[in-house]
Amino acid sequence: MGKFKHEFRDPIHNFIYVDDDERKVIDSKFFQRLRYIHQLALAYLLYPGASHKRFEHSLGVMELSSKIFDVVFDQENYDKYSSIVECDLLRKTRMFDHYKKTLRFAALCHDIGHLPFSHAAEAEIFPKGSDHEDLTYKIITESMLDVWESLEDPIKPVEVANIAVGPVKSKNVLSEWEEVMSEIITGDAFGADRMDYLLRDSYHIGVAYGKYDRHRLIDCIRLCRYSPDKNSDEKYYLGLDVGGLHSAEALMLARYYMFSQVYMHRVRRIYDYHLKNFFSAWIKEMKFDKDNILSELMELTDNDILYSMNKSIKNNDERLKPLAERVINRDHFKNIYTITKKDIENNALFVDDIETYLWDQFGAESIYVCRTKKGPGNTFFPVIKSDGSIEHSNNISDILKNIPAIKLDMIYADRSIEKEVMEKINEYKNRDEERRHDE
Amino acid sequence: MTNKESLAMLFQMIKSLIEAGNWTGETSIHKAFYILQKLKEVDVKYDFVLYLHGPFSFALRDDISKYVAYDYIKLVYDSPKYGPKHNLTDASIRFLNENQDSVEKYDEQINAVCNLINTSSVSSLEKLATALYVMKELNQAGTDAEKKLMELKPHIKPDEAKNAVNEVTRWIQDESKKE
Repeated sequence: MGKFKHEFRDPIHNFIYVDDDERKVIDSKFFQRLRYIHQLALAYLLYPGASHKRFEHSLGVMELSSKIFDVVFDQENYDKYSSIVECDLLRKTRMFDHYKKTLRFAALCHDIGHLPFSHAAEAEIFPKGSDHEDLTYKIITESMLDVWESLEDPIKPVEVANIAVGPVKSKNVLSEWEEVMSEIITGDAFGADRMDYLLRDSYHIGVAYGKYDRHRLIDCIRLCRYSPDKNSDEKYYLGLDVGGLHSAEALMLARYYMFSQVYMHRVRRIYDYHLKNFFSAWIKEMKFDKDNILSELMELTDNDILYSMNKSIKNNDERLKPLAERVINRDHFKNIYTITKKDIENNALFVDDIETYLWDQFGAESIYVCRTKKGPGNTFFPVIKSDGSIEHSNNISDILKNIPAIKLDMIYADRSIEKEVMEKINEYKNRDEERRHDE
Repeated sequence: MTNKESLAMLFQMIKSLIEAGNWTGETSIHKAFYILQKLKEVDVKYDFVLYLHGPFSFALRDDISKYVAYDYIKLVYDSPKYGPKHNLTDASIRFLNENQDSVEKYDEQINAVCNLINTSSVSSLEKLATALYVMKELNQAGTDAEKKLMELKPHIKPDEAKNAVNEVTRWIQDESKKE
């Protein structure tokens, strides 16, 4: 007789247990593929330990989602601040446990639509306005039907998909209950996704930045009705009992440090750029069926891309070889200059202007101006004080209010023109300064 | 639209919202831009999706965040319960003064939108902006628009949906009279 509980050893969560139905999803080819998708794309070229995959991250997100669910819907925690009609009805039936199971499946599958090397080349591949979450939705609701039908305890794929991708990406209008469930996984402040990747990335890379007291934090998460804007309709948010405020501060600081030191590292960003260029060119050469391109790419893993890079160098492929060498031979562009606050103070459009100027001087193919598209931003959450009143987190914590937004816009260039580019940047800045002085 | 005009528009929008008496939280800024795009047909550079409180632009969110980081926009917390209001800094005021031609190009439409919105609550703006989405992007009108609005935002009551659709219908009619 097989084990009812299957276990995975995990460096972050020690043991992660799954039941037979969850094991079927994990054993499916769709989930197994995540064993070969790096969590941090090419970051291992910079941090050798960053070889962890989306597979174990997805297990970790399931584990954390489950723990958050148990705390949030603990009768005492829930009754104090929440009353969702659907939840209250479900609690009276076996369906409540069934929904916890749906949440666990959604957490397992939340990244199942990732292309090779995660986010690195998404913008190039997906049609405008869509991303890996659209693919995740499609895989869960279409490709995995046989898997869902094989389960002992039936699950509705659409519910799993709604919760996995959240209210923006789902094709459907989510109920209040589904929105809450989705926030447990994808929430900006305390989503299990973020909570796991900070710990996991930090562990594998070997930095201490990503660590925070997750046990205390989870123990203090509560569901409450709140509106961050004056005179706005309230909705349910994952908030925090004030007792967990310091652990939340630690989480937000962890996020800030990981973004500024790791995710936005100058070398990591340029590898993403070179990977994206290879990927786009390679897709054109492969001549995928335009109508089926996403389905075809879904069969691929990081190994296929790396193999293609090596092959294009070995075969002297005229078009792909120079692009592949940027990664394989570590011939990446150099970071010449990091744009400063003073540059922007002098010229609000400095980044756009310097890019145009340098392209004119050297050509767009030799210069890359990397803009910070998405930093950690100003994430807030409701804090439940001991008297039961609710406050905005940034009003109650000076640390949270003052965590700076990260802006690391950088200029890169081919190594052969490094010196000339720096000279031109200085020339431009001096001219800009003189112009301002004259005005 | 040039980058300069787009940036001038962002700062001018914040300025005009404040002058119209609006709270000028992030939600208000998003809704104002959406109305500018869809009602006044100004070619703003942002694409909008239907998000938690109605039409929302991730690119606009990133621009606001960027210029907060660079001290062109400041966040003002003056209420313990709520999130911040947005306001200009010396740097953004200077930018507007130095780029008057970019400001003047869309000033009239921006002011018109801010006067439509004036002190509307976020709750009200969500309903109006989503009604505009239903009518302009899903081409619904009248009771069909009301039904669609309630379908997209189940927390909106029938009388609220009716009022929102009627208001937006009036906006659209007033716009077509001007043409």
